[in-house]
Amino acid sequence: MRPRGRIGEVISRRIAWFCLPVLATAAVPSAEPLWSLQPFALQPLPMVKQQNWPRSRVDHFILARLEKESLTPNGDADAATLLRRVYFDLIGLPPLLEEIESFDMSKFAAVVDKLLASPEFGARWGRHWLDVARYAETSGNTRNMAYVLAWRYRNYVVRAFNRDTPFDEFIREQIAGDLLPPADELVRRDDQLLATGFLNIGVKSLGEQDKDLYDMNVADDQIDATCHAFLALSANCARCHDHKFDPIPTTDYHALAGIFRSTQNLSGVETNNVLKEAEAMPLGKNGMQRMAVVKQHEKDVADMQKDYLEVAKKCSTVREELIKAGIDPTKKSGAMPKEMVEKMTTLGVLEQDVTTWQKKLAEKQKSAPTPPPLGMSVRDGETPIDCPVYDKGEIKKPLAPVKRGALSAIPVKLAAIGPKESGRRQLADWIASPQNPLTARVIVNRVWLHVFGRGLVESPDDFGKMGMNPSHPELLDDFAARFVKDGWSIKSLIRELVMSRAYQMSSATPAQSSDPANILLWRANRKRLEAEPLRDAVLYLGGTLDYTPREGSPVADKAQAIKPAGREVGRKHFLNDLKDDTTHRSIYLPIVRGAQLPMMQCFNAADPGLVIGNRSASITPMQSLLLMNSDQIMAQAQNFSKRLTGTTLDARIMHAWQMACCRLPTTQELEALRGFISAAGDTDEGWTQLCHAVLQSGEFQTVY
Amino acid sequence: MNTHFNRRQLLSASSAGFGILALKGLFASNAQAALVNPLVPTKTHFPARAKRVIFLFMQGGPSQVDTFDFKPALTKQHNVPNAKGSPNVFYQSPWEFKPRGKSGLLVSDLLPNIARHADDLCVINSMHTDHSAHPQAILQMNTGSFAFTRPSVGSWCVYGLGTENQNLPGFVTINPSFSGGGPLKYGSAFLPSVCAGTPIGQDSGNGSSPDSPATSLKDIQLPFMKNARMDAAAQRRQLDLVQSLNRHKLAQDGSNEALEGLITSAELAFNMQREMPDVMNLKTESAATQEMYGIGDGKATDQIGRACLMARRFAEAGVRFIQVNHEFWDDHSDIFKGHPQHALETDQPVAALLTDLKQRGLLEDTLVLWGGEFGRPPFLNKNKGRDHDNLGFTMWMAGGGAKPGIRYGSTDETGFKAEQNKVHLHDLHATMLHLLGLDHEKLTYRYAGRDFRLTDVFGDVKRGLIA
Repeated sequence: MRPRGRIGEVISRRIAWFCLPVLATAAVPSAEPLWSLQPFALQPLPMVKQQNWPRSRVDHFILARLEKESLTPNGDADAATLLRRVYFDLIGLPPLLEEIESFDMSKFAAVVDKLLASPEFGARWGRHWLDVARYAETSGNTRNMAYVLAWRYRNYVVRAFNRDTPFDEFIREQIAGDLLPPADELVRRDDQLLATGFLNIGVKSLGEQDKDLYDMNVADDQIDATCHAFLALSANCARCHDHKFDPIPTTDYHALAGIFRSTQNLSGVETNNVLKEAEAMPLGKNGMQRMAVVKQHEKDVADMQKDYLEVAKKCSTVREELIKAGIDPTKKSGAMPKEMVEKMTTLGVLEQDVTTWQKKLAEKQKSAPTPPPLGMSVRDGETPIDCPVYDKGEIKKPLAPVKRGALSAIPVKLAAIGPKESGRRQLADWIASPQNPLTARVIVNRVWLHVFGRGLVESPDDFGKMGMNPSHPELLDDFAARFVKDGWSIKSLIRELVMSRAYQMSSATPAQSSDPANILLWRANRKRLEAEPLRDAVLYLGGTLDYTPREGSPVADKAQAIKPAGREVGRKHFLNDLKDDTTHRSIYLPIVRGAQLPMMQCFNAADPGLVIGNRSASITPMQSLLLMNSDQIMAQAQNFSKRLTGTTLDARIMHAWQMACCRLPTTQELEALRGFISAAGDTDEGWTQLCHAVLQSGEFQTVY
Repeated sequence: MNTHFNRRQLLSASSAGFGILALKGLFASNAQAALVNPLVPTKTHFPARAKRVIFLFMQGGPSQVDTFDFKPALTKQHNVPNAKGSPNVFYQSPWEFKPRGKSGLLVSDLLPNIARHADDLCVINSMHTDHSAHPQAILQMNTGSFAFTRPSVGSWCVYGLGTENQNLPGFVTINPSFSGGGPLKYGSAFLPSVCAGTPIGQDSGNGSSPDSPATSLKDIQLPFMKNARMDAAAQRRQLDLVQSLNRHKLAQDGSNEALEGLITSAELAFNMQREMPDVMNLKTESAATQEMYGIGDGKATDQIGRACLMARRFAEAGVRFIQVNHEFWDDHSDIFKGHPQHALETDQPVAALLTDLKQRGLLEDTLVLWGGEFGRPPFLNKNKGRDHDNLGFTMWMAGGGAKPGIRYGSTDETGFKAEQNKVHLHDLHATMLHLLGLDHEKLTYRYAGRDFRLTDVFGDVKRGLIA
């Protein structure tokens, strides 16, 4: 299928690659066709020697490869380790103590089903998607304006994962939800609209004065996000020149740009130079009509105001004339020339008018209709355009326009785009097509990455020539083919993976291995907790975690008192004092581009300026400092210590350790912990410090 | 003294040893990056002239024709409209230019203290950049790009070189402003987050607006450097417990690079708590030194004086990239009042920094860089201010292998547009990396299918700037 040498050669090259940087360029650009653009199909199940090892098709592929390389798979993980692993992987939280105490492997399948059905699943897996969707609540870049409605997209993503929206539908909703046949249920219809927030939450240079450049930069972000997220291709390299490595000519880029430039962003963001982002999408029952009523009312008020001001002006003119003539208009009596008497009468009438107008205005303003809820979304622009190719990407050098379209190297036909259409609907279908060689492979790989800690393709956002080749190409194809055939269900995918033998292996590492990086999966990978599950687990142990989904966001709350044009990060301290002062799950923390909350930033939360399928995993002294000294962590440690029960010192120590690490401490660990209490004191403070130490331990921060 | 982890200890602490560390920069994969402490000093591409950089960022844009770019032609055209019907008139600088030092470099009286260092300065009169609006130009100065999220200059340096003191961050930025992309200016984007700048204090972003006053650097402390409830002894005892639990686990795990990394990094963190406040504490400096930098309550020089003195202390302590930010030189109205004020606030501290670095022998391997995101045109608008000029402006370098006592390049007759030996911002970045021993075309990071560089696809090393 892929003319790239015998499989054995590929593997040894990969292993060599890890050991010898000289060979690091595993995917040397060449004239070979790109593997990821070839169609995928079900693969024959490979033969294995240890017939009793595999529990699933996935296992067959993995074992066959291991056997070929004479590698032995690790033994199974113990039940407690596995329980903790599957909890963090599926819902991002540690298991409940009662569950730890009563768990055995016979209950594993039931636990998996329970976790997949839990609303916490969406909070965990939704976050993975938000990394890819470069989700944030401000525009970033030069004028960092608040996206006060972005949180509704976030909550949509959580809901979509919880209801296991088939992934092809998830794609269609995000690219063209506004153009889909409206769902019957109102909430689902709103979700279709909110889903397109995906296109709209990116980085925007709202300070850009050049309108064409602004439009192209917005389209660029949308091309970048769409192509990386769904296709793992960096199409935006082709903005200025034909892609250097992948078959993406600059005409393809501008064909896509035409689709996005024919789309209007409804963002609810206003600056003094980019007014076109000011509108937002009305939601809820009769949202459009309700919005029209609000708009009409606003217009009426404005008209009335105009009339009122005219009367008020007349009134004050007459009053000034009287004052000029030496007459006190507040005094009705006294001798005065006849014309002045007339003026006094006029003034009286006008003053009456002013009062009436004031009353009328106040009443009108009082009767203002409640606006419908709003969301970030898009709609097709009034006059779709074909985008010119810009010579070397220079906005001042437009060449001939190219027809709106998709990437020509992908052998899927794009449906015809009508002259009144942007082409987003066609693009969505094209991406979500079962024939698209990239889409299913890309998402299957993303899921694999989060379950196993490493993708079958190590560059989840790049399936191009500069990306990595798959470690198990047949497995990837087989898995992708079955994913499509079985209805694009993410939950089924995850279920199959965690039920596999490969997932349930121990992560222990013997001294020597010919595959130290575990590329061929002879053991489970240890995973360091990311920022969100780490924070959530700390709150959980402290007993303060709030499981309810957060409706709204502090970004939106803080914006309420400020006119849209003033909602710029940094201005009058707007959004400078956002704090992690909620006990909601971390997915609900506010995200300001360029100014993430310290714990998120420190523990490598995804930079929302970029599509990030695989977070960096650095270990830094700043992380240790935060765990050592953050008041918030200390406070949770104290809460944690107060929850410890047990009549003896040892019982309480064991309780703490078991809650955090899902196992009882060894004799030596118990001794060390006991020694600490005797030195620090069997006091509230001593126990707080002990719990604080547990939170700092490597084992707590790691999924084994 | 507490344990200092030097490079050798760090190497031996890693079971993978030098083999793994040597791979840094050649890997794009995050899984591998986790095995490497990106702060470990690494080999340069070729011998370095500078070990560290101090970037004195004069945000807002100082006027070149009033400081370092003498234009006698302006005398002739004084008060003449710069174009037919234009309300703007050419305007000669009210500050006298004099030849300074042995080099005879012409520097105006606006910056009399920096002028005394003329023989150390490598003045670049032919700078130019792409954008004439502050936000974009500021971002481009700090990241090389004004349209996209890219790693900052300092983070590239830390990524490329690691840092010499493991107990301190590799990149600090003092007084960073909100404007021009806020923290993007010192962010790491797709580079390992440990390469990002650590901000100290916060400048106002709006000049001296009461809405957002600058944070005073006096007694400033960083977050998470001190535990509110435990003293050092209690914390040490706690860390000993944590480390014994970690080592016990490590013994069971066999090989576990991540846990080893965590053990090392917790120890570094503990030391950093002591060292960082020490370096930031200016009270240990003599009264004479404080006086030289202009530190003192109520003095106009206090804030930048503290920033510059802190910069010297960070340089001495082995921090790789130190940025001092001052704003806002943006004098669209009454430049004759504005510029002297900015000069007053910065001239003495910057000169003191040069003096201090020199007398400590640090100037030799410290590259000092001074300038704004762009300059100002030679003409005056109707508000007696000068607007923006990105087509020609002046920056200077000192020390760290920059050729001392020279002027490089020139602008046209009036000082508006760079003309001879033009130096684009990307060229400056390329030259800066070169002085640090890094080839700007080879210092790359693979992200999303592309090898990214600080200089994108641009930039030439300007040999004429190098001693």
